[in-house]
Amino acid sequence: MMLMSVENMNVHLGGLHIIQGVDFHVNEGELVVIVGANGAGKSTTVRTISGLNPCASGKVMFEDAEVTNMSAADIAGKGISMVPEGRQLFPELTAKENLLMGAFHYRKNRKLVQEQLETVYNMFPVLKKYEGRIASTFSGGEQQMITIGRGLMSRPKIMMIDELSLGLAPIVIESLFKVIKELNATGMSILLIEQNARQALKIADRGYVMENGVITMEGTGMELLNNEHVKSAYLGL
Amino acid sequence: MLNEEMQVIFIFIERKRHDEFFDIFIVQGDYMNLSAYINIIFNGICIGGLYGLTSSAWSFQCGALKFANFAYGASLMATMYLTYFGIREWNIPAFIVMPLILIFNFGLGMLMRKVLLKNENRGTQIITTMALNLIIINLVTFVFTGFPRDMALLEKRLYITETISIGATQFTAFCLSAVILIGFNTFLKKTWTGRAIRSVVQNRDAATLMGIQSEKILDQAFALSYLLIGISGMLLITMFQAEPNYGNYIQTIAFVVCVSAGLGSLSGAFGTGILVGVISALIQTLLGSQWNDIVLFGLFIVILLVRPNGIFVSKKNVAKTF
Amino acid sequence: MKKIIALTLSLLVLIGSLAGCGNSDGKGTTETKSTETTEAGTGKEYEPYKISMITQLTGDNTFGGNEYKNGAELAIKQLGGEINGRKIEMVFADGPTQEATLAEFERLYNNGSRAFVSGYGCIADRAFASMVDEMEATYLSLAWDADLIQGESDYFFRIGANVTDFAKGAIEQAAKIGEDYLKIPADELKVAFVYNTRLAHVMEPMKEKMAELGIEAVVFEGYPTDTKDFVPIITKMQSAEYDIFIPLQGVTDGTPFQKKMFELNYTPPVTFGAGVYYDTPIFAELGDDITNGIMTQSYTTPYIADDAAAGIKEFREEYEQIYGHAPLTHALQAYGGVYIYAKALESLDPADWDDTKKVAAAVKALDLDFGELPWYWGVKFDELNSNTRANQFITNQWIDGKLECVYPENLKTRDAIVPWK
Repeated sequence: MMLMSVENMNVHLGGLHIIQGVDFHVNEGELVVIVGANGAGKSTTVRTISGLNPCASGKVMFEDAEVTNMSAADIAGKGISMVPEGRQLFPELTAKENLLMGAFHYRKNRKLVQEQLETVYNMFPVLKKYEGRIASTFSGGEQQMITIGRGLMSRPKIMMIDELSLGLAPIVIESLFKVIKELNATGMSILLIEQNARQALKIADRGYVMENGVITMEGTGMELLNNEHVKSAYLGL
Repeated sequence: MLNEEMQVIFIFIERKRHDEFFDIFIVQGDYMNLSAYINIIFNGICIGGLYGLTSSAWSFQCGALKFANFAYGASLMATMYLTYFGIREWNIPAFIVMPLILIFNFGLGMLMRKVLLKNENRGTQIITTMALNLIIINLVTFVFTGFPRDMALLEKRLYITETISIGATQFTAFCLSAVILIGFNTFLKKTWTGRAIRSVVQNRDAATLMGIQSEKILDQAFALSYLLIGISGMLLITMFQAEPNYGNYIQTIAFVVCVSAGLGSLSGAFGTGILVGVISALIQTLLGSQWNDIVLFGLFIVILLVRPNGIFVSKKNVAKTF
Repeated sequence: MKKIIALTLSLLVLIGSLAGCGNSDGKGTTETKSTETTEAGTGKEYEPYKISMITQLTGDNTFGGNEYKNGAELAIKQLGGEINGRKIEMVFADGPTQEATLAEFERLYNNGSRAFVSGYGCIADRAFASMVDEMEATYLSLAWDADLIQGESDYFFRIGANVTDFAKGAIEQAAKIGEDYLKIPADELKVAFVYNTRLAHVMEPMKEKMAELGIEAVVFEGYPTDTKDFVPIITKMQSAEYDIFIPLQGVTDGTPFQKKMFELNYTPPVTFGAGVYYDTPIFAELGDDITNGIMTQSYTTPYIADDAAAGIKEFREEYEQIYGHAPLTHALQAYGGVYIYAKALESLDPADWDDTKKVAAAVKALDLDFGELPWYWGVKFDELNSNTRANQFITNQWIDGKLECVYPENLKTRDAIVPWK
């Protein structure tokens, strides 16, 4: 069942036609990956879906309703959660406060907030241990955990994760991808944006390749991993 | 202000010329006993606490919300005038005037934020708010005349011992300032709106992603800080005269206090305010009133050189906002 | 949208600063009378003769400014509005700042004004002293410092008291009080001297005089005019031992200072104010508890003995009747200034009044004794046009809300009560 779809999206940024007619979709429970080189337009795409950039033309559909160009706050309320590129923590809030902010749109329901917090803590026990520490003092990988946790706190139906692996050590990246896979296994639909094509495609159900603002390829994770062009351009083989 | 500085320098030169500098120096403070000093210091603490509350509003606006508001002094002064006129000249009962003043300030803050401070360019903000500062001062002078306005409230003294006393109004103002600041701080730390404000300040895009209406939150935060100005103004008029340039005086103090404390630190502003009050009192006692500005600003420069991020901000907490 | 806002703001700034900087754009001119007169019997018609005054009608010192205006108006009224058959009238302009005063002077001069008298504070008199000879306009300056003497002049006259003499006189008087009432000779007298640094030019001669007489200033405190908190200074006074408190303060700082002393339950043993604030009704408003017993040194005041100066009683009574409050020194000063013109014009044929040279010469030739004019001071100019008969100062004391003259002998209405019971 199609959860979210993007149809013929066009985005202009800084006077440039960055995204030129992009189509893709995510079905319920899927882990979909978009790979591409730096500057391909991947982040711009998800930022547009979240409402941070305006969409010049095209449609974004979520649960059969159109959400194109809705305000970011409203989109968050619909169940679309984004974990932004570069962590984007609230640097001077504690880890716990960062997580709590994810629950902002249902903050009145204390019990629910508490429950969700427990869920996140179960996934990332280190956060519980140091919940009172200022977020900027955590390591890169832990900070990524905080942002993922924060994204989870909003009880989303779909999580869009932008450039999870940027600036992290390989071993950290590996454990994070494991967490993402586990998260998907619980039924969470995930749209993963990655430069690190290999790791991402390995866990993906389906994937897209984006180059210069257009989708150039589509297929299952395995198909893309074995594709010659993908292999030479993105896998270094 | 400049005129006074010229006067002081003139007097300083005169004294050197007449070679009486050291005579005067020795005479000062020679005959003062301990309780006299304690009285002066207590006085300084009370006034300093009020300066702290006043400065914290500016610290919040400038350091936390990152709005350069140079109409701050004039807003405070206008509050003082309106309070005075409401109670003394138009004979509206105080318990009606007070909430009206708060509403006025809230509205003024909202208006400023929506009209003047939408432009995020710091330089533009400085210039537009300075212009607003001039406008308010001239408007007040035009409508109310430049004659100083005094609530004419004679303050009772609270006697701790026979010789040591504290002004009742000042003490109350001090306690109120502390309570309000603690309350505001708690609001920021413990309530959802407070956290939302801090989130928006620290990372606006991320806050928006969480479903927070960032622009609206900033509007509310700014208007809220104007409530602090309203309260400060009402407290100040009970103790001091209002005159059109009072705002400039307060702005300077706020600047000194906030930058010394570290922009954005609320508790730091309160503590530094008290420090400034006490130092000021001691300077006036030991050196003479005309040294007050010179020494205070001299110290300010020293502090900036030694601790550029503020006295209360250690290196690792640089960029800390609250 | 942003551009429109910026433009509107710039316009507002412009308007705002214009509103505040000067109220001189024709705002403050008032004229008392404006009718033509007929020379009795000769069939000639003369324009009313204008005496102009630029004073602080708005701004920080409206009180003093308006006192001057009132005093001048009353003088015209009591003179019957005419001299030798020709009408005289006052022309007022608003000069809250020095710039405004100079601007108004130009405007009035271009409209034909050739006879001027200072407004409250005499704020632009230094400028006028250097201008009026060339412009051939007579100017009577009411209060001046020693450095205002610009050399010989045909048109600029210092009719009032020299501030330096006043300052020294205050100290001499304080010393006299110490001797006569406290039985302490001057070289053993201890004083607490507190002053607003804005009045530093008055403080300097006082300091010199104190040194000359051997008076010790146990407390010597100057504070900037925008000082708000006086607790340190007052605490120092409380801790010190002295005989007389001599404050030199303006209205805006004097009131908080006195209030603070009252709040701290502190009354100095004897207070001798060097004029300015301590003469004003604003001080009286603080109430008898604060004002009683406080002495102040003034220029000649309306409260001298009735028989000391011709017309002083009428001046006082009519002033209070018309303006609703008792007149002060300031009103009397302006009143006196107009009277000097009156005396000079009296000595001339009205036909000659429009010849400024003749009017100026008539002023210069005046020889009036003490007591001839309601303001008690006489008029006789030395070669530099300084009035040699404006050197008598008055000491007053606040007693039960009234300002009573207690010195000198020939002008006092009662003895001083020192120390206050």
